[in-house]
Amino acid sequence: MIGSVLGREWRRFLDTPRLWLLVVLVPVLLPAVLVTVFLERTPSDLPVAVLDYDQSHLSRQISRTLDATPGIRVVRFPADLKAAGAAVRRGDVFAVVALPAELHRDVLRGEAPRIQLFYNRQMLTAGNVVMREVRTAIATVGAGIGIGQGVFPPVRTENHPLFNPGLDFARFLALPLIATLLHILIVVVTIDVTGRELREGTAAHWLGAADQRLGPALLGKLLPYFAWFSLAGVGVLTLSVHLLGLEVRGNLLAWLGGWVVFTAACMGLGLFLTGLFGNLRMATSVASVVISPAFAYSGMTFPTTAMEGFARFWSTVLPLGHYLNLQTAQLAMGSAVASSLPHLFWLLPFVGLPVLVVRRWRHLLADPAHWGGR
Amino acid sequence: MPVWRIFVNELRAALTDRGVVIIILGGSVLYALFYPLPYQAQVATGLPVVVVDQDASASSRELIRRVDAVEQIRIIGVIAEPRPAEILVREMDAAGILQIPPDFERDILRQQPVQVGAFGNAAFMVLYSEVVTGMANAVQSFSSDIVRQRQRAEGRPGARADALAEPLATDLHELFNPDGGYANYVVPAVLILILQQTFLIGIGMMGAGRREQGLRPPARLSDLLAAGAAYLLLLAALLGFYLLVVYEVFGFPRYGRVIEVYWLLLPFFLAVIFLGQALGQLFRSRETAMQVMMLLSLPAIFLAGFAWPSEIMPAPLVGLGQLIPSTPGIDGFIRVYQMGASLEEAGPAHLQLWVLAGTYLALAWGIARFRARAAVS
Repeated sequence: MIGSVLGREWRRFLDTPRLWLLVVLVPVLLPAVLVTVFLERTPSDLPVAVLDYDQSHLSRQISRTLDATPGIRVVRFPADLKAAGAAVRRGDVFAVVALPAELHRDVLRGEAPRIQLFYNRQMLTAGNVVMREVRTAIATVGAGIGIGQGVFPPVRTENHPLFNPGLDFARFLALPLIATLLHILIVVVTIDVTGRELREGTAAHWLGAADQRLGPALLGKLLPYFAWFSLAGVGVLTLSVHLLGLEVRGNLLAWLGGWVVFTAACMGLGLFLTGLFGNLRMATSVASVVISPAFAYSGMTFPTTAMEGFARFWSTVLPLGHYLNLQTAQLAMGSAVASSLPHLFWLLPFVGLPVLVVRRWRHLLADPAHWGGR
Repeated sequence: MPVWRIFVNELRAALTDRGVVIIILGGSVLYALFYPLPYQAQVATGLPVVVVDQDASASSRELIRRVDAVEQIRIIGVIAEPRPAEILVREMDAAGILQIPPDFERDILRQQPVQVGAFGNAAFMVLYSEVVTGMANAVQSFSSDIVRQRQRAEGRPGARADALAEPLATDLHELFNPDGGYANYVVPAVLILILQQTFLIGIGMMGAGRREQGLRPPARLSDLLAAGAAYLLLLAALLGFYLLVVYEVFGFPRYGRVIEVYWLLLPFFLAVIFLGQALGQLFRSRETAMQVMMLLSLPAIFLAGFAWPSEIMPAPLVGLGQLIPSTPGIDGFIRVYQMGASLEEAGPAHLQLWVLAGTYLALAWGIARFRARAAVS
């Protein structure tokens, strides 16, 4: 029974170029693009401009220190603030460091001159990196001056980036993004292979292959995709970890087990939506509303604890955030397996979600009135 | 058929096609209101930090008080051992650790340099930078105050003491995104992407639908343009909705003029429309347009290079990204509307958009003519 559904699905798959693309090519191609994007290290040597009104020994020393600071380089010495502003708006530089006239003289006289730093906060990531590096460089020069005058900073901070000593955030973001792409793909494919039968009016044939029994019809159709996406996901994710040079600090089994449950949850969501709407196009549209913005709600970029109201609720409900938190905990942070279990439990309801629409599915497969909808 | 009839017919066909109208009107409005929600708080405040105080002195308590006063940080506990603190970070119960070494106070009094540890969860960029920057600022001001007190104690005047505490001070001036908001940073770019993706889907579905019904696409250049004008009208209306309503609802800052945004984005809209008309002739089924665009949204936003400067991406990918209308579209839009750049300053992006619009028009027309000829022969 299941065997004949499996055989039928295999033939359908072989005859459908679209499925070849979606199921075989996309899971390799899109992660490959993302890995390539993020293979380079954290934003390095972002351009800044120095507006040097002092032209002294000290101001030139500051320019050289800025240029030598990892993460930034001095590319421009504009004539005035107007030219400097245009350089920022054009995107030639991310920040302007204005060194006031009489800088050197004021330092020698002990008058604490103030350096002005204008930085592009619209480009938040790059802008903050530049701001931090410029401040560090100036503080270093300042500390040198202080030591020359016999003053040591009494208390200093030593920064310790936990789990990511190289502060390589791009590399850390690549993996959640790959998982997010795969999750979109799994939902899309689940809706496609089930909803397409309704659209093309082949549902009776499908049910026929399962001797009119819904369970074997759905299982026979979806099990091969479940097996494939579980395996492909494990393969793509571990290969990406390897290519990106990350190391697994936590429990590999808990992470990959989490992926398999997440795959089932995505398929559950897809099957639920197709059943609910009984229409390939509509189910895909609604799925898009649910899963396309899911990454923004996952807490990978902006912390979920800072989200408010509906966003907080929605981020708890969506399966993606739970999987990604589990992945980060087990992969990067080496958390105890027990602390990831709650995320796993949040995924389980999605696996069972199609149960709610079993009767509807029976109806859809039996009644030709539901077929052919576009 | 006269071109105005083609325009009216296309507009009516798009607006009466349930599948299409749900995406190009429903989707573009819904996504624009739905996407900003997670970032509405703009900045993460009150992130949990645990203190490992190995000194337990008046000085260490004073430093803890100052760190707790930082807006980004909330102290969730003070303990004496480092190990449990690290576990709290691992379990995501704390975002960072402030470590105060033993003999902290004694060393300060003996005028020996002391180092305080600022640990942050660097698996998450926002957590790390907010927490560590907050701790570093508090420690810096604590340290400067000690220098000031020492200098005053030695009888130096206040101004001189201040100068010695901080020989080179930096004043920060944020340009364009005054409160450093995350929504201000992400959402404007995403809005442009939403318009592109929803219309590529909608126009693609229209084209694929024609193909499914065995209808030939308009093969004359004037017909393509007239049909495209229907979508141009809708895109212009939606842009108005974004700039006036969505910006107002979420309070995004803006430094540019609406009229300049329209002129800048005109070739962006044309490029999207013509690309949609070209792709629509290639999809075999209506849903394919949707499936493909759902998968391409995320790569498109990263290839646009606004989240990560394109300086750091490999050259072939930067080149690939330049073929997507949203890449120069987002770049130009952010410069003009978020950063107040003049059209001249956003010139390269504008020019690139015109080139893409021309290229995709030629592509759509070429495919249409090829298919028309193939159908005849």
